[in-house]
Amino acid sequence: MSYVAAKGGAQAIHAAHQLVAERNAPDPDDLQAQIARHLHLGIDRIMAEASLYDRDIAAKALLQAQGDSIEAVFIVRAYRATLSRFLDSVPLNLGQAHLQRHISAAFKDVPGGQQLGATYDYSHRLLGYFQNLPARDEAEASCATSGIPPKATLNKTSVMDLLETEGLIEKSSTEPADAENRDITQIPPGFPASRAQRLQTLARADEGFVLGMAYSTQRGYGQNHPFIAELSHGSVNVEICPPELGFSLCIGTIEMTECQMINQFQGDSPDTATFTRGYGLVFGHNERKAIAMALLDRALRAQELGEKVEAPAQDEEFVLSHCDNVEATGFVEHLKLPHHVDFQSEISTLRALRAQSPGTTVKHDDAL
Amino acid sequence: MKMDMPNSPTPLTHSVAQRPDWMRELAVASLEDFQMISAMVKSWPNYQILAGPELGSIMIHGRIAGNGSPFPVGECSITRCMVEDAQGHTGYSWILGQETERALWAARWDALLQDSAHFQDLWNQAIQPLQQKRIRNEQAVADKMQSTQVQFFSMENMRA
Repeated sequence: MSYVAAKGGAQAIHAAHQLVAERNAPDPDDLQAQIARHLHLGIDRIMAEASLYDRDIAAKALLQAQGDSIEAVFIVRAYRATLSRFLDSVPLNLGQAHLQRHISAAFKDVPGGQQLGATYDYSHRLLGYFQNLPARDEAEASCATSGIPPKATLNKTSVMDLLETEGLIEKSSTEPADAENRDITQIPPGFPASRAQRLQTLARADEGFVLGMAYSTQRGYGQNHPFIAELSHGSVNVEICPPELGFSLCIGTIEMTECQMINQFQGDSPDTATFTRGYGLVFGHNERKAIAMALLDRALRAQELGEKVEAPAQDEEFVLSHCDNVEATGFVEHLKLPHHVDFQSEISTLRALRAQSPGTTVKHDDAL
Repeated sequence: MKMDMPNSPTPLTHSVAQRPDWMRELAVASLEDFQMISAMVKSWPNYQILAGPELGSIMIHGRIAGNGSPFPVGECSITRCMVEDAQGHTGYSWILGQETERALWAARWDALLQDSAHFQDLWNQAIQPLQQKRIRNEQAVADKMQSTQVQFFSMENMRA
């Protein structure tokens, strides 16, 4: 494998585990609040796939669906359709986010530092692991000697901006997307889809599907050769500009996970060869989905970047038409509904065929 | 009302430019916050609700690759409200989530803060404490996360 062994960071990892354990502490609130608190990653997944950011609604839906997350997504989607859309937000400014977690797998000394946040990336996958961590005081005492000077805030200078300044990565297009054709919830998407439409579709796509497709690119079906430049999770300001006010204002924060992926370089000559980008942005805290989305975003840019579309993950019609779990579950599960007449017509056709062929005298039961 | 936070000594003049600032603090204030800051208002002007509190959604947009063209990420639930008070000020509120009670409070406060006669007191005694509380909470999270800052050391000879 292409990663290197690293040492150090034991105290930071310890603190990261404490943060996970803290979130597991019992809560005297009602069941819905407990679900929202304890199963927060599950709630985040429902919010992302239902495409509606609202923890309370997602928790209520998960409770109603008895833990079936796809059913919960379905319920929230249906509810979402009853809400009027008041307006569009100003595009999120992730550069100003209050980051809880910010890591880079490409650069050891990433601007802003590597901050683990609450993670179990470095934990043993042992049942009950977080219930048996050393006491908080000990952890704090050891953190005090971690030798890393505390910073007031984590200022995020983007790794991608640095690479862009050096001309080593493709410049991202700031051309305004076709406003009329942008939002797939307003205008059904066709093919070829714009990158904006692909990203919107992927942001609400089934995590399992996106994960599987992304995995296929790593195994050679549409190679990306990816590096995570930055993976961030934190709170981002939501800004709106209501026409009746005529100015923009921040109305609170939402949690987002962003993945900036650096991929194999492209270009006709050494001077023009640059790395290419893949991008993932998901509601809530969901690193697996953000990374997989970035891999898939890059794979789906095959045509734009002049690559042969050979693998399933590069085929936008295949990916975008099958990644939505509400659509998928609807069609797959509708098989449970009565198809008696359909089947009767098929069975009579087969009987008619048999009846025509000589030498067959099969009795059949009409009750079937 | 008891204020445990020191008021800022810097005088602020009433300006519409501060409206986004107070609307932001009102948008994230909890019901308890509203009960606390509203208790100190000596006389509330009469008001009538012009619209809402109404539940709806906004579409959240991100940017392709973080800095490119916008794309829709998904919707967010929202509550909005519009009131007009006896002094003729129209108060608006936009609150994330489904929070009708908070939205009504925020709209009433938005109208109240447009009253230049009382603006300074209200700013100092209500909005500033809310702002300080929010910043303290943000800082507390940041401090906690700070403990997970890490310096990894690559082991050069790992394959030796």
